Amino acid sequence: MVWVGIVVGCLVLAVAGPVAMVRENRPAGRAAAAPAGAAAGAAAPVVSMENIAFAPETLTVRPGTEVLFENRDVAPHTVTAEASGIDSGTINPGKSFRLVVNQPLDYICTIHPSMKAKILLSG
Amino acid sequence: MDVIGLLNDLTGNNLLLWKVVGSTAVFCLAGLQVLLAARLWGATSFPPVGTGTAARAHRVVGRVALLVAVLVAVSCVAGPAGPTSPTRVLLHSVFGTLVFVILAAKFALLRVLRRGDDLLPWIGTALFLTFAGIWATSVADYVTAR
Repeated sequence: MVWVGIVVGCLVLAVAGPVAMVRENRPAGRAAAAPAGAAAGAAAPVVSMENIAFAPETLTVRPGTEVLFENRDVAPHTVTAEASGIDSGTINPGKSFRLVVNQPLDYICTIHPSMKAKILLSG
Repeated sequence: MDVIGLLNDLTGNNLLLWKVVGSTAVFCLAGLQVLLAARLWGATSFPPVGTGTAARAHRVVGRVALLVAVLVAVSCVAGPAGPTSPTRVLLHSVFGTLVFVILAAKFALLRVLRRGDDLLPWIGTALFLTFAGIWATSVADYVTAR
């Protein structure tokens, strides 16, 4: 009985990967997510998370500017600047995070540490 | 539930690194499994242990490898780490699916139906090669992306 359960578990895991991939990459869901975020913060500078990278990698804004971080990827990400004590928590695909920037920031995604970017202040 | 956030916290914000370590461990254990199986089938004299010891080690190592593989797979399904290129992600997903299909077939044959012993060398080799495929499409990409 235990081994039947293990066989079933293996088959569930075998199917779960492709199902998750198809669900995450479904064009309708992703297309809907991006405009929603853009509309909400029409004037806010946007940093997108896509293909395991922040874009732009360097953003310059005035102090006090609200920056919108949009996750347009299939993977969850974070916006974390440990030195400044800033951590968005997990931003799932299609979700966004807003941050009022009052100081220069070097930030990363702690789930994908190769994702690095910075925000500079002008003026 | 935010599974990825929880796992990321548990790994001290180093989830991807731990997945890389886990995948590499499973790949190495799969290689060891092939060697142990070859030893217990009498196809080789390496590693230099008795066939009984090789059989017991094969069982223990297999269970450890399966446990680690399941942990890594769950974290992959809960929050896909790609894509850095669509082909890599596609291949990774295919290999990931294949490995659990082969494992299911192996356990079904051996433990549920209790037949198919003569297929074991082929199944074991297929498993090792599939784990190699998973490793190459994830860890190798992680390392070269650095």
